[in-house]
Amino acid sequence: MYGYEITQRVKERTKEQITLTEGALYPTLHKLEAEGLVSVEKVNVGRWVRKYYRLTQAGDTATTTKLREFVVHTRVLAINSELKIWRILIFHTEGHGGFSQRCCVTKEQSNLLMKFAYPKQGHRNLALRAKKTRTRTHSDELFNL
Amino acid sequence: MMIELNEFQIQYIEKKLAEIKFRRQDIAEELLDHLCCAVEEEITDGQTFLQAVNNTFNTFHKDEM
Repeated sequence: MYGYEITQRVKERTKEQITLTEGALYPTLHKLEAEGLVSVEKVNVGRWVRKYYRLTQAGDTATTTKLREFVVHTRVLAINSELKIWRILIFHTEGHGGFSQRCCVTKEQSNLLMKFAYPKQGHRNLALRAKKTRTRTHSDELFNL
Repeated sequence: MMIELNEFQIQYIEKKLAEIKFRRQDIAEELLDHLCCAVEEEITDGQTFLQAVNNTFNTFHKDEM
């Protein structure tokens, strides 16, 4: 995709909630190019040259990683708000070991969560978050660290 | 159907773009494509060429560059 096309696609997919400015987009694309995460193909379109950007293999991997991190985050929020799990969490972090007890999610929910998480780090990160936040009182704050 | 700019119109945009001082020349080069696409879209939506150019340059965040 070329730059203008990317801005339009973002606008369309976010129902105009997010507008990428030129000053944000092009420096980012150039940085990604320098890091080897996107490759560039220059195509002559009449009087000027258009640069088409494409994810490289490394870029594809990085995207998957970032998406996983994002999905873990949102899944936890969803589970948390649906079940009002925050109070239960405080209760269970006092003196109980084991992640599933601490977070008090059902086995099914835990599987759902871990499906999107890193197999090992997911447990660790969430446990750390729980530990850091157990004195807080508002559930929304849990994930604003 | 998307309206395509003719050579004079592109030259006009090129000149207008050249009047802006950019800190990053690598970005400036890519902006001609970006602005021409935006102007073409405005014209396709029913604006005149000059209206389209004005709208595009007014909403263009040149301060960030």
